[in-house]
Amino acid sequence: MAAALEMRGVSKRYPGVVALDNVDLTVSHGEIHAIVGENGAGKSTLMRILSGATTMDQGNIRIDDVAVEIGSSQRAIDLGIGTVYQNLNLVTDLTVAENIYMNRFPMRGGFIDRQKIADGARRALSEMNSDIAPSMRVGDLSVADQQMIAIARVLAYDIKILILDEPTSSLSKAESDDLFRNMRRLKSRGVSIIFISHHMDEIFSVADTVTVLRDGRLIGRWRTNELDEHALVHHMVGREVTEMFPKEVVPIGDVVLSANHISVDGMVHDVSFCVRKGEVLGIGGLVGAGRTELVKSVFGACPGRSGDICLDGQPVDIRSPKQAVEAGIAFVPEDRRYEGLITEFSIEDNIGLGSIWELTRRFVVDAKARTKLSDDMIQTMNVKTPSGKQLVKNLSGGNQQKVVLGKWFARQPKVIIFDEPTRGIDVGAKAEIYRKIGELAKVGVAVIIVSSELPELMGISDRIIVLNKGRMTGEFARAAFSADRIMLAATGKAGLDATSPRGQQQ
Amino acid sequence: MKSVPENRLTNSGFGSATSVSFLSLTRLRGMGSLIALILIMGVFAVSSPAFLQIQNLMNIIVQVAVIAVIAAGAMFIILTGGIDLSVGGVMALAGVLAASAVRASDSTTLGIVVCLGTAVLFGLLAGVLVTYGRIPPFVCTLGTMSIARGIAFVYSGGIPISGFPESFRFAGSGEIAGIPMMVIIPVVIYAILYFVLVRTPFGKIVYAIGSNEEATRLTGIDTQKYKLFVYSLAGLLTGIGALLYIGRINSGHPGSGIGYELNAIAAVVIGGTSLSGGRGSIIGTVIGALIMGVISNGLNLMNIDPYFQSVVLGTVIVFAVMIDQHSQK
Repeated sequence: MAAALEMRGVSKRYPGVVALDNVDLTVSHGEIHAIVGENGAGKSTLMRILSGATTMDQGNIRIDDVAVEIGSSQRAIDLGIGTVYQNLNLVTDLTVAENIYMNRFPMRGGFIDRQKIADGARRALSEMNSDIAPSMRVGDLSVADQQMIAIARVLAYDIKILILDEPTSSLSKAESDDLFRNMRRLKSRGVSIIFISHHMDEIFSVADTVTVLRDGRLIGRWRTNELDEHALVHHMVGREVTEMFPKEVVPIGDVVLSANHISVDGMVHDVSFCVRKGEVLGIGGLVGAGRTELVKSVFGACPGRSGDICLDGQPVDIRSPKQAVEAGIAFVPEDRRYEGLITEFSIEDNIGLGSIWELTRRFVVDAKARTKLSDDMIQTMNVKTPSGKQLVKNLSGGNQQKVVLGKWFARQPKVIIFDEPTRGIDVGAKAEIYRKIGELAKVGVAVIIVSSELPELMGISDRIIVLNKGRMTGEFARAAFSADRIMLAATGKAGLDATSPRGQQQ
Repeated sequence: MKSVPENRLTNSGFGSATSVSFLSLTRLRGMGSLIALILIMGVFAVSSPAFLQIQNLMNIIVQVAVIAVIAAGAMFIILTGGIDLSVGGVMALAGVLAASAVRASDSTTLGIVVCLGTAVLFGLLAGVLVTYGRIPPFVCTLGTMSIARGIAFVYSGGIPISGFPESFRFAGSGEIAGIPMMVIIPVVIYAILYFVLVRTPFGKIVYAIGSNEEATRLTGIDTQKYKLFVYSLAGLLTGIGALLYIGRINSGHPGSGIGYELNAIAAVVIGGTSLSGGRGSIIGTVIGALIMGVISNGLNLMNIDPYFQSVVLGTVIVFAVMIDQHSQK
């Protein structure tokens, strides 16, 4: 029998990045097929092609042995491919029934046929063993119920292939189990499910087959009973990473910043860590593990934090970014364009804004001093621009990131926190950013780096702590770095026993 | 309306009135509305010989003085991405309270303090509600507008309070060396605010907040504090506007200033400031206020129905915003 879905030789390039390079994917009828890979491996690009959100540069797709072209998301649905995205795309102010029938309301006499959509919604939900009332407002439901509705909405079309993009990322264990039961029920009706997850236990409990991608390439396809978790993680991570990063060994000094028993409302639970002079501390974990909340709360930018922070052994009360900056902490956020920079400003204005009071003489911003500071930073950070007057929005991602670095470097911080420092940056600029981070450590700055890219984290860190669902699940000294073990800790499979407690202080 | 040169405005719409080359860029940005002003004046000069006489030009400035001063405050708020609808109501209340204080005490100083104090307090109140109360500026100042206007009517019983000593009326009707205070005060205010906006850290931070508040906050700047200050500053300018107004008409009237908030916003918008914040120049705002004054004055001289003036003004506003939208790309 022909496969439900066959993708052959799929390639997709974005400017500066090859997202997919000659990837194949074969999904059989009535199969749950997991796709795994690190962030940036190409999973989402592949799914976006399949759901019609983007088009491929090369390759072909066959459904039930018939060649098809997927040009739009409507076309994907017509072909029987339904996608439930991680963010669900529900209209929270409308009812369950209205959400399920969105875009195709049955009409009667010019009005929506309320009876018909209520009956239809009830039927769709009962098929999934759910008794959610069709008249409920979606915003009042739990995330698990909302997900059910997102799935019911897709299934209301004649769907043969269902794509679930990290469906369990915000579900509890019991809710995930419910979801898996529904997935198996759909499978028994002949629906093929493509399932994206980072959680090893889920993949092994629900998936029949797994396809591994890495760096946009196909690594292989296995039946889940042919391999174990360690083997799968090894396929995902693959390479030996350390030589890609010229890690310079810097003498590590005293503890600069220690954060003790940090909790952030429902997202971080009792995490303690410290970072020393000249040390690069990596924070690993999956997306949504609470890493960003942890570091943002240390910077005073995330409300609802409890726990203590000490700088140079002195307790400091940091409740706002202003206090953090004054205390000598800098933060390079994940989203440069919305959090890190004022893109409508020039390079000079952005760098100057970080030191605006230092540049002020008798109520007036000293334009010459600012130009000098900015030119110094442009040179130090090697920003490629004709002049400091250039607007930041006209720079490439890598150069924008260097401007953020320059803004902070100008303040000579004691601690600098990076959240995903190389996201969306091309390979060449990445290497430069790594070098700058190394140089920061060399001059005695304590560096904290949150990264979802394991090779990056292992390449530049002296020590790595790992979070899973808001809790610390591992700590590794550089000598004990192992991609497999870090990945296991990130998926919540390894305890703290795997750690070497050098960084644990006091 | 053929006289509005859209293409020039589009060219000048590059929103960087913020760097060291500020002067040249500001000139560029203000250029579109400046050319519009000159063209409109040209049309009136041709159609009405009285238009270009010094006395008439001075009249125009006197007529737009109050709006121009208020618009300067409105512009600061709009630059941060906010809006202030309360100025008309606050102006009436500040005027009524100040008039009452002057009548009761015969003290010019007390009158000025009450006038400016009331307006600053209302600005501060709006600022607190917008920042710490997290109420959208539109809704918040819609509320404070109504509150201020209501108090003005309740306090005065709906009756204007008139008759002030000469010294209290000086700001509105006095003159120095033949130049009306209604001309001198706005010019001085605009000169100071230009300096503040272009040269001081405060000015830079105002633009930064309007462009990207979150990034500004994460740079270690207490954005709430600055927004509070901006709303208070706008209050102060509304108070000065009220002082000019009651000094000129020699009366504090609870029904005064109706529609001033929209005229002030119109002046800001015609001057090329983006309603979404972060882009705009103080020179543009003064030109915007002048365009409104010139249109009104010129149409008067041509004996055109005042109701029709409103149509013309509305058209100018719509065009100004349209040009602003298209130049944002």
